[in-house]
Amino acid sequence: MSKSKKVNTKVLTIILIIAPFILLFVSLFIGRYPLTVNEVIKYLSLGHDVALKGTDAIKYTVIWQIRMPRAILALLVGGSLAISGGALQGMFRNPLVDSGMLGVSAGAGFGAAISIIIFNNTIFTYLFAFGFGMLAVVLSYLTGKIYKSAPTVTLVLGGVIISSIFSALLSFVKYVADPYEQLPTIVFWLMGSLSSANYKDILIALIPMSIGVIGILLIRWRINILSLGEREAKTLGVNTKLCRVLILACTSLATAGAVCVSGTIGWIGLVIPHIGRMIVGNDNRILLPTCISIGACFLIIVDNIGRAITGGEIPLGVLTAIVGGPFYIYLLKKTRGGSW
Amino acid sequence: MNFFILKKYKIVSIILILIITITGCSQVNHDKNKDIETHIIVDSIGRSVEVPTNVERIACMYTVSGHIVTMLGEGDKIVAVTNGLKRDKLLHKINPSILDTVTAKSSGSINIEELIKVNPDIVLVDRVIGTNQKEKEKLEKFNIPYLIVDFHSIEEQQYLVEMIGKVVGNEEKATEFNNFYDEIINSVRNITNTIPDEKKFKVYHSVNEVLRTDSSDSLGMEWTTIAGCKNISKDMNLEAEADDYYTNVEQILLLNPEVILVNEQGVDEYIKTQPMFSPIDAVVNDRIYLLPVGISRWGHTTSIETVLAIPYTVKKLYPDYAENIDVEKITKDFYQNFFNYSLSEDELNHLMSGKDMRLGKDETN
Amino acid sequence: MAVLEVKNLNFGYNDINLINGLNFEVEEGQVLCLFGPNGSGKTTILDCILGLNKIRKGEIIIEGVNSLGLKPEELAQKISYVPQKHNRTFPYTVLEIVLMGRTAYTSMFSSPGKEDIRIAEQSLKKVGMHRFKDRIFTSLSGGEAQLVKIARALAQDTKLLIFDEPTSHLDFRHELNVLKYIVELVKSNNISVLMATHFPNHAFYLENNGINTKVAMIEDGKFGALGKPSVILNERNMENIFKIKTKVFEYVENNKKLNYIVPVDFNTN
Repeated sequence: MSKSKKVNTKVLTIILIIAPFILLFVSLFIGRYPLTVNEVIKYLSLGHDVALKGTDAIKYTVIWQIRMPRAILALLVGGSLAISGGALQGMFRNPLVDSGMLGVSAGAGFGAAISIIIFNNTIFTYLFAFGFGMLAVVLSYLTGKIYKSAPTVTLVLGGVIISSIFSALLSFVKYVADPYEQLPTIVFWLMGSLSSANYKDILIALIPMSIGVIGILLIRWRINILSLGEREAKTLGVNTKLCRVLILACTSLATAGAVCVSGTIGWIGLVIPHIGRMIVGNDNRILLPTCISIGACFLIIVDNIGRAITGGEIPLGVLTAIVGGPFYIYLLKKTRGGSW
Repeated sequence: MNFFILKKYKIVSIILILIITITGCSQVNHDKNKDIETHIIVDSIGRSVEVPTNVERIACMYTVSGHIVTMLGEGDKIVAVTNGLKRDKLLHKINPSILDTVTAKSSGSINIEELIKVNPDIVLVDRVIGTNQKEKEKLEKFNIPYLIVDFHSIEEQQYLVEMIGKVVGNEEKATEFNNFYDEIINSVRNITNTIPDEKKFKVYHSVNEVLRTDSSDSLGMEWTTIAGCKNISKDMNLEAEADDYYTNVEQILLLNPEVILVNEQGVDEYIKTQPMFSPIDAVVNDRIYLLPVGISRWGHTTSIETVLAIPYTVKKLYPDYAENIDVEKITKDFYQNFFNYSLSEDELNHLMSGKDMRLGKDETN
Repeated sequence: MAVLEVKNLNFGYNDINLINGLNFEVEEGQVLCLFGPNGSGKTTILDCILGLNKIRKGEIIIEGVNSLGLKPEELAQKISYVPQKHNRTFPYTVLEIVLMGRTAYTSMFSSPGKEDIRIAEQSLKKVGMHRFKDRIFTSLSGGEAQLVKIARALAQDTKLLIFDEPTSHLDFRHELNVLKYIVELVKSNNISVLMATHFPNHAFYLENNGINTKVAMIEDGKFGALGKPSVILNERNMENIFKIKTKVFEYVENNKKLNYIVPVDFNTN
């Protein structure tokens, strides 16, 4: 029995590692521009950065400049959001927490909106989104520290307070924005989109995302311990304060990095870790890497649906919420009085 | 327990009755237009509205209505405007009194107190406000007549100019504009008829945003077609979001436009620099044109300067066929005749460049 | 050598002093029972030693080192703790819980390795819980959970174990089981135990089983008496310190003299 279980674990590990790459490959075939399987493989095998002319150039661009960067970005963003959500759920011992909980999304949304109004330049939008996302986390943390007791509860409270302040500020910015020019851009950004993905965006976002994700992976054993609560974690030899700050910093970096290029994409950080728990259990050593894989797959699939079913762009936030919302309710129902 | 519930209901109903009585009274109080001479005007969506014959105070709660009123020479009658009207630099030169009016609309909602303060005889609103129950009630409560201003085609646009001509009492000027419009269309059609179909360009028209474009029954589709464009958005599968239509990059690549028209400064640069657009014919051959901006973006879905966008585009795309069209002269004459404003050479160049013609948000007051 | 020395311990919140100048030590292979009613300050004392409470004055010396200068992981390599109740959290397996006892030996950015898993499994065997290793911890009964927590403390591999009410909420059978393992561990591993309890018979049980046992009778953060259970757990001390009438019995089984105590009434004077 234990042998077959080990084999299953191995098979599962392999599936989790290669699934995102298979989906990435599959998504190269999906889109409005008709391309045959042979064409995709032909242009793919030419490699990145070849000079072509005419329809050749267009088909090549569809694969290498549109579908490829988009799928890569979906993979990175989905993975980052999912692992951040999982790590925060573990640390806060609260399965209903998600990666945007400390105000990252609200702060980034506000930052992006004011940058759209002032500069209307994508690079500034990224910088402002990232900057304000991180600022919101710091403010949440400081707000949480005003209260001396039960740090996990007050941090959540700080996050709620700061999020609502930034949401209100965002509403105000939307209120003063030009309804014909700026508002649509702000709204579209807020709902999340990978439509303008390019390699430059990927590089910009890759730095904070990879620092955050690698940091979370390194510290993932400590997250197990923190999930036992302050007392037990301390007596087991964990510097709880330092650990918490490190985890907050890593998750915020990963989330802000993702949010600043893709807009706010909800639900992934909340729902994916739960799917992960159903598959591999609660040990964060295994769960968190699993979250990366499932989150990446989920966002690639959702983005493919978004690209394939309509001529325009259905904002990702809408689709993830449509899929994630009912699942969340199902989870709530299932976990009520359950083992959490 | 029951007694209390009963009592509660009583109190609530008394309050309700009081509210109804008070608001009823206020309606009576504001019914001031009784003895004033009126006439019936049919607005853009076919409502028949009783409007004072002699209108002195106009509230323009839809940007284009302010342009038309100004064009018809009655700009000094405008007493309340939208935010957008406070941002058009050229309009302020033509009609500085706009800067002294109140802004009574923001985020798609009318600020009724601001509006009644300036006591308008008539309010011109967009279709969204004019069909929204709550917004309508705001105006009806004070018995202010309102007309809905809306258009999706050149014909509807001309009807609108005629309608506003009736409201302000300058039908002559309205007719003059509509005749000018017809002349332009005819002369451009004469040109485009001589262009063989295979020589006509496949055109993508970006509206404000890169991926926002013309739906197949829109004004944008109509005027670009008149100007000799094969507007590729007609063959696209678009995603509607309220009144705006969006495409995606793959469809643009698939239809590979030879020309791209944009109306938002910066969008042209974006298309030129993004690798994903690089193989498009229009990018390869450097045929991305930023449309001029006068008092509005030429050719925008809500612009009356569409009449200028048509000759501009045909000249830009087919200079060999449109030799006889002098866009700069048409433009100068247009502002002279209809806005009584003489454009300087600098102003003309500035306008044609399409850049920096609108004030930033923070510069308005 | 004393494993734990507490000198002039002072602790309190704001202007309230809860503990005033407490002195005691725990020797190698010795069990010290902090005995007193609920609210007498037992858990507060444990928390001071565990570093959870910041002491106001005094010294806590563990294996000859002042605990104030120790990092959390260094402290956790010297003291392990078996909490009274376990916070409900994610449903980890039993082995995962025990493995957490190895945290103090893993660096900040790494996870326990193969050797740690071996130690964790061995600890489970010591308390007879190895066959439960893949079960979900939160689904265990109170007695089973208590043994798993003891296994986790063993995996932590420390000279001193601290128990907070190890048998509260347990039935007779499981209570006995837990005490039996404590006796076994102290005897076979020569470890020291500091235990908070409100059952005087725990102290008698340990002494009866040949463990070097001391008991401290605590009331209001002070020691009313400190010494061997058979010496100080008597009717007079119970009446003076806790104001209750009790009866101590003695019986002989297998040629061993055993003690136990039962409550009789409140002190009616």
